[in-house]
Amino acid sequence: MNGHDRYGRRQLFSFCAVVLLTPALRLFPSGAVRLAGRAAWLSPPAALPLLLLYFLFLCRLLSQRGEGEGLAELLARAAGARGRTAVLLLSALWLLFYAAFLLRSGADRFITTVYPHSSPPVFVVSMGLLGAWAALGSGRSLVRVGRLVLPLLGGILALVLFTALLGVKKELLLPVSGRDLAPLLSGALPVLDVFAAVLVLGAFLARGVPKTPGSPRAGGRWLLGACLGLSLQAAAVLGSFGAELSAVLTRPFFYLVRNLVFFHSLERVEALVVSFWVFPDFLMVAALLLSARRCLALVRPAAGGRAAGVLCGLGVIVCGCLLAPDAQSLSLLSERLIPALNMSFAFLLLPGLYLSGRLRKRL
Amino acid sequence: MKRTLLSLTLALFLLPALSGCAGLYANVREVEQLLVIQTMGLDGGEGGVRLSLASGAGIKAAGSPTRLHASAPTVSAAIEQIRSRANEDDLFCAHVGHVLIGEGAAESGVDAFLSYICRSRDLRLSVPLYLVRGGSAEEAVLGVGDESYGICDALDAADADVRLRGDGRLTSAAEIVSSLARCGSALICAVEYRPSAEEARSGGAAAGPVMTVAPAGYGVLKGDRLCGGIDREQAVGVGLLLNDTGPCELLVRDREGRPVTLTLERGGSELRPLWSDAGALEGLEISVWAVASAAELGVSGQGGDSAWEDDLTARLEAELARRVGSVLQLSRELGADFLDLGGRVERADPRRFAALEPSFGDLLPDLRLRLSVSGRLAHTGDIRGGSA
Repeated sequence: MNGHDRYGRRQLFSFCAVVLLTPALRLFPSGAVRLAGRAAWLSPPAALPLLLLYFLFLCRLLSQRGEGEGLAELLARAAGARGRTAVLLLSALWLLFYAAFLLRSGADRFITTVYPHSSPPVFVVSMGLLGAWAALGSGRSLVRVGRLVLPLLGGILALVLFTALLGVKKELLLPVSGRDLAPLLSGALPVLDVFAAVLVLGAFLARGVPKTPGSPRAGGRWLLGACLGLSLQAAAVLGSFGAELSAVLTRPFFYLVRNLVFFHSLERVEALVVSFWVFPDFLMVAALLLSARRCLALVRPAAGGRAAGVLCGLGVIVCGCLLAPDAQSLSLLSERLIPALNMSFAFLLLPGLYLSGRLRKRL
Repeated sequence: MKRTLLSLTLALFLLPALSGCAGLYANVREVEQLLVIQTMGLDGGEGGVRLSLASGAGIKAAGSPTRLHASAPTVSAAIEQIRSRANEDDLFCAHVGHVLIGEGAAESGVDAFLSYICRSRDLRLSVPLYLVRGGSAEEAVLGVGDESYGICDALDAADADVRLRGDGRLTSAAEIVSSLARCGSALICAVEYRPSAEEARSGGAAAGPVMTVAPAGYGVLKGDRLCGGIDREQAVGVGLLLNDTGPCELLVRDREGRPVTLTLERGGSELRPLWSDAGALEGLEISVWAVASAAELGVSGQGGDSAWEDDLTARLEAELARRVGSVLQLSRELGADFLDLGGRVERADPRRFAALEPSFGDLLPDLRLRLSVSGRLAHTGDIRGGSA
């Protein structure tokens, strides 16, 4: 890896904060509300201990890497000579499939919120081409774009949440009692899913971060802040619509934005806000393609070249166009299949490979 | 160099997109051709929906409101029917600020209308819903106002009135859906269609009075059907029970029988559930407090007379007890928890509430209610007697 493909740990955290917005607003809070009801706004803090443990695990795993190595290289080493091809191919396939799903899901967000009479391929192809083009470049550009757009998206989110929280009704959020504990823990599952996707992607991109001894405290603070942000978002939605209505709305956050009137004069800004969500989509799709390319490059160096990158991009676009032709199959993908695959990859495959690698002294 | 050239080429291709040319976008609409609908009326009709729409002061219409109506099996079909007839204007419903529902339609059930609003890409969930008491939404939408103003202006005025005063509150579609799901019943802001105070602007008395809509308390929805109503006088009780009050006038009589107008300035309530030793909910103890001032005494010079003020305070308390009591009584009679009393009991004691058998809604008609009202006169505003 040359010096031009390097970036700092803080830049990577900023990037992760931006891409977190893609799965966060897809699954949260409606997914958590269905499980935890009125208490769903507390599900991010409920998930925090597990998230911290998982983050420490990833830190431990990444501490085994050499200079210029990321999760892809560690997976290859942990799987050994026999399993490396299968593991890397499986990882690449998962990353490409996830990218295709994100294209399809992003298109659906545009259609349901702003462009009701459009068809998904328009958005899938345009976003896919942009993502594929960006993935042909370096990870550093992507991470720096994330760093640049974070203040913009953070500012929009803060303004929306501030305005929404002013109108929240506490009776829609309280009481939360001991009997909400079990639902609350199950409501933490969507939160784990959201963070798992982002943390694993961050681990793939960690190959650009110099290997210097660092404390995981910065990551802990990042997780705490992100959980707080998700909690506030859920509180704004639940406090405005109530648990029953929030559970049936597809993307309650954008309904919330549609309802808001800023400074008694500015309203109907949902199209503008939705359009800003292009950035996290674009960055996540590009980062997934880049990581998949890296996995393929480790299988066979030629497969990591630009031509293979273009092929991967086209494959993802085609898959995105064919994926989920109707709303029912899309919600099945979004709420069942993708979370199941994502959690299996993050919480079963990675720890399993780590343990196996440690036992066989490959890591 | 290659990258710069590529970026410039891409930017050149994207520049036309910034020009706003209609051909580039599928859903572009010229603002001059938009007919901005601000009020929507919904009624039940034979085999479907009677939809009425009204614009405010349009861009093209130079201040004259446009009123449209159609009947169709669904709201969307009725909108399409109107759209096809409004040939020179493009119907734009994204700024609908008021939705009226006729009393007949509300009695038959509002579920279809709520479902339409929740799914609509144009309407907001925060749009206020109004029940047209004793009439249809269509006659209000089509009949209010004259050539210079219409239902939108009348409802804007009613909105401001309701927001500022304590004898009513706006109820959004989201609130109603959420309350129906949570409590099984909900309040809907009511308006009545009636002659305006002003004379007909043209045509004299022969043209008939100019019609308007005015706030008229609430309708009570149970399930999704209208099952009762609260008039504007009783509506003060709703504000106190929901801890959402504003200034409003109360007419009482002093000890000499003279009419006195008091202005309720602020108030609220506290609720304490009464549990039996076995953990059963036996009743509710509701304490209402209110602060009022004297707006019109009928006679001057009484300020500073503490006996007279005590008497007036007692009469204020009795009046508020009557109004709050009638609202609570209606809630019990209908078995409809539109005041979210169950939610307040749950917040007071979540553990016992969870163990309630049968549910709060079933218990409500038989609950013992203990109501106490504590009033205070902040000042009598008497110019000779000074403040109390």
